Amino acid sequence: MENSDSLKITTEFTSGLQILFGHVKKHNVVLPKMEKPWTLGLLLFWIKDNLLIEKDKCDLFMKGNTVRPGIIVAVNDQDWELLGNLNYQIKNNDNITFISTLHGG
Amino acid sequence: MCSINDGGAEGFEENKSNEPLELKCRKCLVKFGDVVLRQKDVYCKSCFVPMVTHKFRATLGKSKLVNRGERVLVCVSGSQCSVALLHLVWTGLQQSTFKKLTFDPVILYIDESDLFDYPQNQRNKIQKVFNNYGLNYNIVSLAAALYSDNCLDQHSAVDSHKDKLQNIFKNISDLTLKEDMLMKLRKHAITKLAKLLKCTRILTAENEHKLSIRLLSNVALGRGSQILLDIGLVVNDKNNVKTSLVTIRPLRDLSAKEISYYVLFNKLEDFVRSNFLTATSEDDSIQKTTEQFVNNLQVEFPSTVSTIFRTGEKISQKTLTKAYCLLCQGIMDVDVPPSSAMEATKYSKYVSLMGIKALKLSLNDTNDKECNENKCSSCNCKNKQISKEEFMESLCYACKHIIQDTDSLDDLPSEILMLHRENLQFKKMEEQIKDFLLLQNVQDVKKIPSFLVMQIHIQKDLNQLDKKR
Repeated sequence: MENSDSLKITTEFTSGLQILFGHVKKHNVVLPKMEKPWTLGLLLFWIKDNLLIEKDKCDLFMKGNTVRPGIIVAVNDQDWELLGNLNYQIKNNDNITFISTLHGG
Repeated sequence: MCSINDGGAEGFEENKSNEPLELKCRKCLVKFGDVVLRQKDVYCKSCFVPMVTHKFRATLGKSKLVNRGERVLVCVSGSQCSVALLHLVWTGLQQSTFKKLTFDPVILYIDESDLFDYPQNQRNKIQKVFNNYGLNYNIVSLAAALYSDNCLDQHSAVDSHKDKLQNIFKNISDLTLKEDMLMKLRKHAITKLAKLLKCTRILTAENEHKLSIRLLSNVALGRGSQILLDIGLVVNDKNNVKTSLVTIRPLRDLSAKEISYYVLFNKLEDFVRSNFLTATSEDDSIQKTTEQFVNNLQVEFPSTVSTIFRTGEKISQKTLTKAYCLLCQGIMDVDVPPSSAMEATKYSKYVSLMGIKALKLSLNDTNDKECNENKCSSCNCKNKQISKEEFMESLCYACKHIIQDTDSLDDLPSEILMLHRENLQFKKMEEQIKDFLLLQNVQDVKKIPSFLVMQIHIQKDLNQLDKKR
């Protein structure tokens, strides 16, 4: 996409989470332009609507408006707890990793 | 180091999310942090990785159980923890001489693709990873490990073995029991392979998180007496430390988050690792419910896991009688007092099955009757087949539940069945020579030297002859 306002990011789902996303670990994603800035909180819902393949197993990924307890989120290898959790504003070329620590995914 | 114990000492400290976190690493105070541990300690990448390595080495060193040049089986399942374990061991071997790990690792991957759908090329990918490390490795399928005698041979995977394995799990309807059975069979396979590969130590990769979930679900499953076996740092197979198999869990002081970031920072690749609980609902099994319970608590009280874990460590075995369950090798509660929880459960189950009749007959009376009936029906085929009831007697409470569901015992690994036959023979022998034993309290007939048993038999024959005269 040529639009300079759209964001290009990569999302990664590892250690079992990829099962919910068609066994694909790495997704290159282009987020459409929006009036509000893209935050991690919004991205989660976008992932749920657009990337998640096993829709009926959504509760294995999300709980309420955040990720399920036991799933770790890292932005460019940095803990999201340092970046303001759900309020972090996504930048271009961010690499967002979701790691499940739950056994068997 | 002292940081390990911090979590337990704090008690339940509530999460103060309003307080802004320090941005600099608390160790070097120079770089910006990358990871937050225990929701308050910030570390940077270059301080974090050595810290994890240090914890690993400290746990391994504490046990002082691995001797120089000893063959050690490293169990790698492809999960994050085990990938981290493999990398930690490998890094240990690359160190300069005085820090170097001195044992001889043998890597084991048990392929469970007979039971679960893995991506086609998973086995090859794992093989490639192992090749890159350049260590000795073995890839064995679970079915072959359980049923075949020469399972180290790559081509020993036979379809009949695969069917047997699948049969076992087909007959168990309950998810909780399925998962429990899989754990026990896996353990059985690992022990067997360790012996075949002449390894005397086994490293497994469970982290603190996983172990505390296992601790709680073990209690719920009725495996309370086996907690120490399932979560301890060093678990001894038998009493003699020098010669027997010892399982070591060197990652038990690391949290799930520490391992995840270790894997992320070292760019290690992990693999899909299914089990029966994968992608099932949280209410379907005890294990999953426990996991959810622990995880939800952990969000608000960051010291949940370590508190459970440290408490579990203090639980120890008080019984001295050594009877082991055939299936899980766990310690069995024999010699239970009449008012124990186990008897109570048995009785309540019995009453609900029999209804009002149960009140007339006491439990023991009917138990005897039942046993007799079973013997009658099974004596025709006793030589070949093992009766389920007899087999159940040598199982622990939790394993009884698993076996109850299965139709046939033939699908179990032959070693277990062999062991059972042996036990039966000893029991028979015990019965025969019982009158001649001076020590009424001899607990284990196996310990009586065989020449004595022979003598007793001769004596018995002579006595009979005397009577005839």
